[in-house]
Amino acid sequence: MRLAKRFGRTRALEDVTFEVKDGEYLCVLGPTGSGKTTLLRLIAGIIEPDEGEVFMDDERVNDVPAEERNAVYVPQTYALFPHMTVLENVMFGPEARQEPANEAYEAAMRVLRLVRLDHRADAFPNELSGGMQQRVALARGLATGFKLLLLDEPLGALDARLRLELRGDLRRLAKESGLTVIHVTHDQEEAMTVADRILVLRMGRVQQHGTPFHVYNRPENVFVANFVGRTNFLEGIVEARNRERSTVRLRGSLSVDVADTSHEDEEDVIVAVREENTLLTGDDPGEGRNVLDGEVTQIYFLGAYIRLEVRLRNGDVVSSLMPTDILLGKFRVGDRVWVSFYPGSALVYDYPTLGLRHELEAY
Amino acid sequence: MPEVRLEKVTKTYGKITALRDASLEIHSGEYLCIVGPSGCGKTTLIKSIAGIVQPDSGETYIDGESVTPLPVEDRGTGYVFQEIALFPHMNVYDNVSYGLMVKGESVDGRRGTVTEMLDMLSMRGSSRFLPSELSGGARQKTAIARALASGSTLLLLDEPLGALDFKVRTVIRYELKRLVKGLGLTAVHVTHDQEEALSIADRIVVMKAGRIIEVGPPDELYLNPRNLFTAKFLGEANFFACRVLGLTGKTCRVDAGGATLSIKRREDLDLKPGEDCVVAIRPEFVKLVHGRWSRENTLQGTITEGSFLGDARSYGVETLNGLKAQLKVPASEEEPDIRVGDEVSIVLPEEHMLIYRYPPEGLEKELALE
Amino acid sequence: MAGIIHRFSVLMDDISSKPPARKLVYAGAVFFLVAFILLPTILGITFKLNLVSDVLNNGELMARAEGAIFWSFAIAFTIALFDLVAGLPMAWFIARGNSRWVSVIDALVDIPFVIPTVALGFSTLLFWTGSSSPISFLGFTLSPGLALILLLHFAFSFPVIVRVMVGELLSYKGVYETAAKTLGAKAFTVARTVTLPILRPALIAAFLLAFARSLSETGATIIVAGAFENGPVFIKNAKDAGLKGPMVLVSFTLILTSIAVFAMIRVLGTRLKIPMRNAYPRQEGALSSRRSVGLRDATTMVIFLLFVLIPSVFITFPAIEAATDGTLGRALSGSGIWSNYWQAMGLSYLIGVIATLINIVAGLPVAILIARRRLGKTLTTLLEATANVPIVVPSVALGVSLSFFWRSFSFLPEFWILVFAHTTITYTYFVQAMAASLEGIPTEMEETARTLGSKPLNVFRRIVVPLTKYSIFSGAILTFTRSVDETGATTAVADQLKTAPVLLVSWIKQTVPATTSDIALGISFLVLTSFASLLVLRLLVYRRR
Repeated sequence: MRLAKRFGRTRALEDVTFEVKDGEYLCVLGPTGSGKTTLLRLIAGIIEPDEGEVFMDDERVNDVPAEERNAVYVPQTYALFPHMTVLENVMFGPEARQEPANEAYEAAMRVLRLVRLDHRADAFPNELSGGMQQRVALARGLATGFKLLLLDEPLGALDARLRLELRGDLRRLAKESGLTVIHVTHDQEEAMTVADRILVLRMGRVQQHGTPFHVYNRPENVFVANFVGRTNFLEGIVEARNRERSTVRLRGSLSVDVADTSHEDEEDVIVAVREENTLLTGDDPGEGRNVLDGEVTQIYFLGAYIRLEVRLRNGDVVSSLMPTDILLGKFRVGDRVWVSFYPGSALVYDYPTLGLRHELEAY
Repeated sequence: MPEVRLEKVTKTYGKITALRDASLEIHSGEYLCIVGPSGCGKTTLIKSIAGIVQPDSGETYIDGESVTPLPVEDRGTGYVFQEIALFPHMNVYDNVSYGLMVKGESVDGRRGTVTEMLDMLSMRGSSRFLPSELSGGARQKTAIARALASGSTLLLLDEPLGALDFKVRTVIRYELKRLVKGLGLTAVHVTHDQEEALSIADRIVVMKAGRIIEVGPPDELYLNPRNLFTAKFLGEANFFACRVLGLTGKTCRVDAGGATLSIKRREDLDLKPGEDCVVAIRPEFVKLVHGRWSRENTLQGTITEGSFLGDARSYGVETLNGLKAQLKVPASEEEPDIRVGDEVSIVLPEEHMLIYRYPPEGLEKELALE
Repeated sequence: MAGIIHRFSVLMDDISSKPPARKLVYAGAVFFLVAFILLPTILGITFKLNLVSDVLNNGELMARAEGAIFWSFAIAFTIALFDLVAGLPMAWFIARGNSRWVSVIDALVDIPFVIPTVALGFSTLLFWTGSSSPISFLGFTLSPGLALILLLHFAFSFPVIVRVMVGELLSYKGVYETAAKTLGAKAFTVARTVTLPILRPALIAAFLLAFARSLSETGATIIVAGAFENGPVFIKNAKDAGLKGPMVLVSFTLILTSIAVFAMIRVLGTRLKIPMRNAYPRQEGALSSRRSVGLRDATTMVIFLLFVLIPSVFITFPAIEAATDGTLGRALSGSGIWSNYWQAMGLSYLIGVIATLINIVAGLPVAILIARRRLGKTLTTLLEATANVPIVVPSVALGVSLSFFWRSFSFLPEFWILVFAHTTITYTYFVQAMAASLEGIPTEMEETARTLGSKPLNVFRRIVVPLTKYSIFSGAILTFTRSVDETGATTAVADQLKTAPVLLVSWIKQTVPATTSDIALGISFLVLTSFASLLVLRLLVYRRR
């Protein structure tokens, strides 16, 4: 099923255009208020766009009512019907479309077996845990046989730890059933793990659309570089350029080399380096480009990783993220360290018109 | 500043036991995090410290004095609610000054402390706004300011960052800790997000089904969890059901589905040969090697799945003797040369393996999060 | 047969999918609201405005009319205030109290509300003025008049305040109070600085409801008024004397002023600030102590028993007497005045059933429009205000206007005029009950159901109705009971036909010779049926909980 959309100015979305391929798992990623839920509801047919068109399988569906769009919508609260049992909830879709009762029952039980809830078919929603309720909501959607699944923060109501576990189940279920999924979330780790492609939204506009690898390693702007993954940002001016590299002068006359040649001399830029792409050493490596010395100001234990905050000589703060078994016990607050990175690891952006702060605010 | 002690605090609601014989010591000036799945009793625990919930039995002491008979309003604990609960009819300033007003402080007397608090949280400019006019993050900060301004030295926080977006949370949590430490308060911070607890706690309390499972500093609980559930709940881990083969010196040898593994022996665990046990290792400590190798603590298998996580890649491996393992490998910027179906070997280093007694109720039940 | 029904429902479902069909249904309902409810109320009185000139020249009548209007508002305002002050502690006791008496008191508080007002009026009359009145032991007696009206209105508006406030206190999130306590506030301070300010809209709503009830009540007031005249009493007297002019004048004034006063109180109420700049821990701590609370509760109970409950049920004594002194036999055999009685009861029930059914069908779409805000903010507010007109306006004034309007269609028999009048008066009850309950169903549920492939009518049938069926029942029962109880408008409208309450009033006023026993028994039958329907209501509500 292919989906293309072009919206004009609604209050929540502006000029959003993209395509979803048949069988694709797309995550729409963005902060609260970025318009993700509005997008989903537009596709479902619950609200209408002010401008623009929605196509499903090359057919324009703007005027098709929600009940005929063949797209299942699962809101964040699941909206399970409290007065019906699990089985009745799941059978609702097929029954509403006039399927004979025994066929509806068969379809419902099949789907409940798929989500491993067939033994709770007679329970009421309020008797089930959060994770189970979520599975019922999915089963209810699957029972309709529709091929498009629209999920609004499907794991949002669950514990952080539970979310980790159920992410994989969600994707597996979708792939096994051959569904096209549009999954809305504000959790970039979640998006990276489950998506075939990610659509990043901010304040109603598309920031980037690509595979997780693409979005992570080649973020198109400062917002995406910050929102996805952990990134250091340094302000600077382009000092020199040759065919392969540029030199950027940071604050306090520190200079770094970057493998980017798209910016002019004297241009204000932002140099972005992922925290895990920095190398840290306690021994003075001597002179060298891209070696910045500073003092350890904070150490954070994150479980599988340790993160060090280093205040450089010029006042900038850089964070370095390394696996725990490499960094554990190596450094203490106050230690003098040298931070370095490969020129190829650095991304360079135009200095944002609204200022760096504005782009780093996650709204 | 105060230190808190709970002795065998129990609370039941009908058939459900929310807290079972909870005993805990909280040190003066400590930033303590309590984690656990939904329904584990963590909220009931701090509510009983605050006096919002009256335990059925057990004693609570603050600075050595029993506070069990005292009502909420006399305990002097600052509480930040999960629902934030800012007074909707008062602006930010009035909300924050409420604690002082209630103690009889005059309008002028309150002004100094309140402005100081607002400045600390960079909320000065919003002091005239009503809660409904603020963003989620601003409301959260106001709730924290309100608890702090009341003069309490013991701060109880129930999912204080729950209303915030993922990215915002990861930034504000450090500000919160810095603020609390700067004021020299004792804080108890309840969260279901184990990563949050790992990153800011002085000590972590892990709870499950009303019981306190384990207490300790983050790195200890992460790298050397004494309890099976702790290993599962904090971070991720692979678990294998095994049988003890023998014990020699500092090593314990186990049979994992036909393969033999060596694990560092635990002094506090008295395992006998023939006993069932569980062996665990975190995904990031499993090493991946191309091809099939026969070595110590090495299992041969095939890649069954792989995904890109940004700063790392995760792979699923199924070993020849039927064990399933997940591993995490730091990502490089090039496309990897490991594909699904590749023949590989996984190395499980002895120093990173954890061992536990096999749980009486079965492994799946013990590890269940709901 | 089943096949035909099935095909019919499929057809209806399909039709419901088409926007034009849905729009037609909603338009029809709104049309009904405007054409049958709003316009007759406004136009009826305006048709006959010319009659007012008679009165304007008559000094004595003018003085009486002005006095009546003034006293209606003065009484209503005073009563609403007193009831608010007396009712709040009671509401607190029920909603927050821990004693085992709470559920008992909770049930007792409703009694003055559920008893038909005719019964209330007669019972109050007997309690405070009758020959066997307990007051006579104290050495003095009261006679019908202003004092008695005040006592009566205090009694029947008390439950209104308590019910509204209990509902609010129970449903409002206690976390704000807990938060205040963790900040060190004592109970009294919490109530003053947190609970009451947050509940201010509810306080205003409760005040207005009590105000409206007092303004509107006719049957019981007539019984205890004696020579005193407030608005409704004056209109009745004017009607009995055949003077149309005064009727029109006072009705017209009442309608306009009540709408204005309501709007004004609503607006001013939101600006009312409860003082909370400072707190006084020691004093307020003392007020929060167990002893203070105990004293407060004791006083509240005494006031409740002496001024509300006992006067309301005092009629049980003569009723029991009537059951044993032979009146019962006469009643059941329908002899003498009793023959008319059973006719009147039958009429009351018939009108009640028809009015309820009309309201369900016509009111539901409007309730949906209000609850789901489909028309946008301004139009929805306008719609809601229009639907509220019947309760804002005193029922007797409403009756006068409706009577003039419908009688201009000379082919309409009086029975149907009565039905329309009852439908109009009870319309708001049903719509409000339904709108409130519909608001409780998240829109997401309906949206999700639609995306699962269900057409709108099917969504309504399988999702909305089951989730609101308790409200549909309670709305229907409330509407029915209100209709059976209705006295004011019926008095204004009816010439030949008499509904049960109106008949009973005529018995009490001695326009028909009836003994106290007759009256007591007649009222008791009415009360029993009211109780029966409200018992059903309570069972439904409790089963749900």
